[in-house]
Amino acid sequence: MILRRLLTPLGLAFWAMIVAIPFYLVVTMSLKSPADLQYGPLKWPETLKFSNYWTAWQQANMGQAFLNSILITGVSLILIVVFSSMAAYPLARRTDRWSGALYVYFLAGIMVPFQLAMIPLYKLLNGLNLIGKYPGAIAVYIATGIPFAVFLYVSFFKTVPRELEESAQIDGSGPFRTFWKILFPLVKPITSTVVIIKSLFIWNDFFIPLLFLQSKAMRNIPLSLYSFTSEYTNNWVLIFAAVVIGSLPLIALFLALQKHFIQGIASGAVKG
Amino acid sequence: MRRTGIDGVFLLPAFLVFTIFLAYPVLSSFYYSMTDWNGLSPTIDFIGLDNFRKLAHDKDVWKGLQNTLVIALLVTVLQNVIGLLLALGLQKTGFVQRLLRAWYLLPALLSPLAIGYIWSYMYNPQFGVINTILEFVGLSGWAQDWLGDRRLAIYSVIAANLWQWVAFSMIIYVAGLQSIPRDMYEAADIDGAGAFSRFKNITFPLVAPAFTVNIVVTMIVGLKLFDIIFIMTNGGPGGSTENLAVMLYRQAFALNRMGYANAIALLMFAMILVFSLVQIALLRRREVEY
Amino acid sequence: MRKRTKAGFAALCLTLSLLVAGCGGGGQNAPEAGASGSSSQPKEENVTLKLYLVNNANLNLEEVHRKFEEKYPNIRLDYEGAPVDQFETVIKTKLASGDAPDIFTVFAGTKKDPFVNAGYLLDLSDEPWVQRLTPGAIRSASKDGKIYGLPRSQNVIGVIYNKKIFKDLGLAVPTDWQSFLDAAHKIKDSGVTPIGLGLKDQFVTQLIPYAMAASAIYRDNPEFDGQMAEGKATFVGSAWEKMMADYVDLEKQGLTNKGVLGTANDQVLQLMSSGKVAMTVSLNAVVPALKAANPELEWGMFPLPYVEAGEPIWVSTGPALFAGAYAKTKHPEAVRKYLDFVASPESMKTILDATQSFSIVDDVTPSLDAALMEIEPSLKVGTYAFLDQNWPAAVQPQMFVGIQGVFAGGSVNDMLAKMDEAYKEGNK
Repeated sequence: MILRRLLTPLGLAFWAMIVAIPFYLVVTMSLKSPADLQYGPLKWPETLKFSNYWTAWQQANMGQAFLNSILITGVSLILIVVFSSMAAYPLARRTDRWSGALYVYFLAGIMVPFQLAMIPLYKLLNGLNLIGKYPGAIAVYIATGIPFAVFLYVSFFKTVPRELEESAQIDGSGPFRTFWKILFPLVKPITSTVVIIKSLFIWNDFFIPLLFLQSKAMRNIPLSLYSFTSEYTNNWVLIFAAVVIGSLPLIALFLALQKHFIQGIASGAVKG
Repeated sequence: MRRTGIDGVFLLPAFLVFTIFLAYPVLSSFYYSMTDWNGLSPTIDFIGLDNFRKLAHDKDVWKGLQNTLVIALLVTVLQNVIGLLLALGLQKTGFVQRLLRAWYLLPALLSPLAIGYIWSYMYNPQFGVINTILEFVGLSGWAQDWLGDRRLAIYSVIAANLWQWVAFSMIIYVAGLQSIPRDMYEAADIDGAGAFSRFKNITFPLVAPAFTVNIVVTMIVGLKLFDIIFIMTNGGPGGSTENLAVMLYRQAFALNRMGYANAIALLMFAMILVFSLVQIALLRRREVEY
Repeated sequence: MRKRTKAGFAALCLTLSLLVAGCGGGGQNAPEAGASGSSSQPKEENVTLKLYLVNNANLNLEEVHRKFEEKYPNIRLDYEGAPVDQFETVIKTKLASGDAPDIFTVFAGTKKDPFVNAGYLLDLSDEPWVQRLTPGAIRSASKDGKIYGLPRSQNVIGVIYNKKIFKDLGLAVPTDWQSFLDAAHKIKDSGVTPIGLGLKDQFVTQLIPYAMAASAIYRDNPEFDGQMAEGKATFVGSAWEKMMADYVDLEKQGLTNKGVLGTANDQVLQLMSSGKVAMTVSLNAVVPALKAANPELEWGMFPLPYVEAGEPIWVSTGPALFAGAYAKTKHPEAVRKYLDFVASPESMKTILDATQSFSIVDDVTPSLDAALMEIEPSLKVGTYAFLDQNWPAAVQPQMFVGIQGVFAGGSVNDMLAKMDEAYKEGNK
């Protein structure tokens, strides 16, 4: 019995440590001098070189990268939420064959390997004159974000009783007003789920910006890490400094919104 | 008529963006699976089903398929078992519990690039963190070349992935557990049910919806796993961590076999589709309403 | 009714606004904007050249570009660097989609051939700088007698070693394989890891075999590649079998660091700069990184002596290309001006000094580190190009995977058979 009582805290403490060690590594590495690296990754830095952060910030032009990341992530998220919640509503309400087929059509989007769609996608964006422009990358993020969001919204709308909309309609509210004023606030948990999961993906993605945005002025945070790599060698100290800087906004946001974060992920999935 | 019109307006934006920027490019890339295109040349020859015939006899593809399944299975099982165990430990709503939940979620905020860089220093055989710690606690015999050993590398990659994402599964289970009505446990206590039987008869059936979501999502993610493998091992050493996603990328862009790579992609898509549909059908049946 | 239509229209606009915003040419991106100094030369048209090159922080291109834009104020350079891991993916996607940069990195040897065959590369044979190139550089930049890229530097594979460790142990630079192994054993007995090997990075896997093959195959049979192309020779049954056995043996005898497959090249360099590893077989290009990590240590470089005592040692060297040009570029004149400027002795020296590599033109002498000066005389004995420069493009990636496989316990024969297969398929 005593053993069992101890087992839980010990297990939890153990995992807490497993999470902590790599973070210790990132932070200490980011404060070392290049010469310090030779003493192995666990060694505490000889002198704490905070100037690494400034160097990384300047060399990789991270201020601009921040603005780009915020713009791209923000606009993509808003449009994913708007488009997906709207589409999910009729899909959840109708039972005919068309809506079933359409639902499966969206769902299949979760399952496709994306890597190879790149060449046709590039041709398409090039034809639309969207290469090297924010809307191009944002459109791709929206398209890849829709399937999962639709999946979550549909399952949640199914649990919302029809009576709500019907009484609203009796009161003379049109379908769009009903949707935005009554239904959309009800699915807030799913919206936070979508926002959380997709913001992690979009903020941290480097492939789509690399391919479709290209210019240095449009780089996002993950791409700026590449400023410190060369053909044969990498500047690890600055890479880790940039990792710390680039992760801070998400960590700060996460700590601030922790409760919603956790509720969001959870409610979205469980009720679905 | 009226209904259809409104439905159409609701559906149109998502339908258009999804069709134009995802469905169309993916479908048109499947066309290349029936060509011998090298990814560069302006001429593309249609060769029918040759790529698929070659696929059936390609030992590397079978190995890649095997790796894909091993990775997907282990990612699914480990993430759910450990996620559920952590959730059971943290289902109460105290300060410490909240703190730990947040702490466990931190790795999910890092980019795959950062994860790759960090873990290559964790796993380094000579001065890596893991071997250094093992030596420090007197277990130097356990030290390994974590990413260099052909048998171990795949598990090392899976472990890093677990480190990053296990808390996601945990959170979903925590929510599932917290939604279980207290009185059910009280009733079970009166009946004198043991801890295991309590878990089996009450807890598990009621977290089933969380279970369904977790299993399906982790499995699809596991089958498609790309970033972390690409950055940590690029399929190596000697192809031992190369799953289909990494393989088709290498075939397409390093080996100049764009047509063949698309055939592999189609195989992968078909496999994920079948797995997901079967799983959803099986798991949905188990769920309990209360 | 009316409300509904309005909202529906708004939703549609949201979708379309994505496209429209794109077509309107959004914010930051205005590549065609003219350079500021253009007013002084009203006759010359303002052009912007798009450059897409592999990221190389050590190249000091900023310096070259600054001077170029001073000299040609009407030509603006829009330069983007790409991470080496993803460069090929992006450039192939761009070319296949018809959105090519004017100037982009081209890899030396046969790796560029698929690009030439597809008609993407501009013929540069008539450029003035071609006359100044060394024969090896010309070979690596040409296909069927035409030049498709501007070479940048001559890279050399050799043994980079810690001079102090050699001196303390009284070791001389070894000149045959047995004495190389003896030296390594002595270093090992002194408690230092003799050879650093970071096979986790795929490009490292090839360095030792290339260095070996220069002496073991090509010194006595320079026609080997030609025989392979004709199908008269294969990897299986060639000196490759012995080379690979000796290569793996370095690890089996405990002469390398532990866990070669899990160690990355950067980590080997870190071990070397802390004096824990005495040598590594690598490229001249890593010397600046070693210097930066620990300025107090002194490095030397000698050719890998994979020969019997008394035999001449050949060195594996390969020209690296700077870039080629897009065949359908809209600004061929500006492209030529740019390449010509990079090829000028002044720019070349800037680049070579920064990368610490040997010259590929006969009128530039870079200021090189002592370590590189040490290996320079050996280049006159005999050299052979990096092997992949003469192979079909798919052989090298197959070799990377194969060598890792052999170190992980796979069979040499399997590896060589797969390379033969890739060779045959690519040679069709």
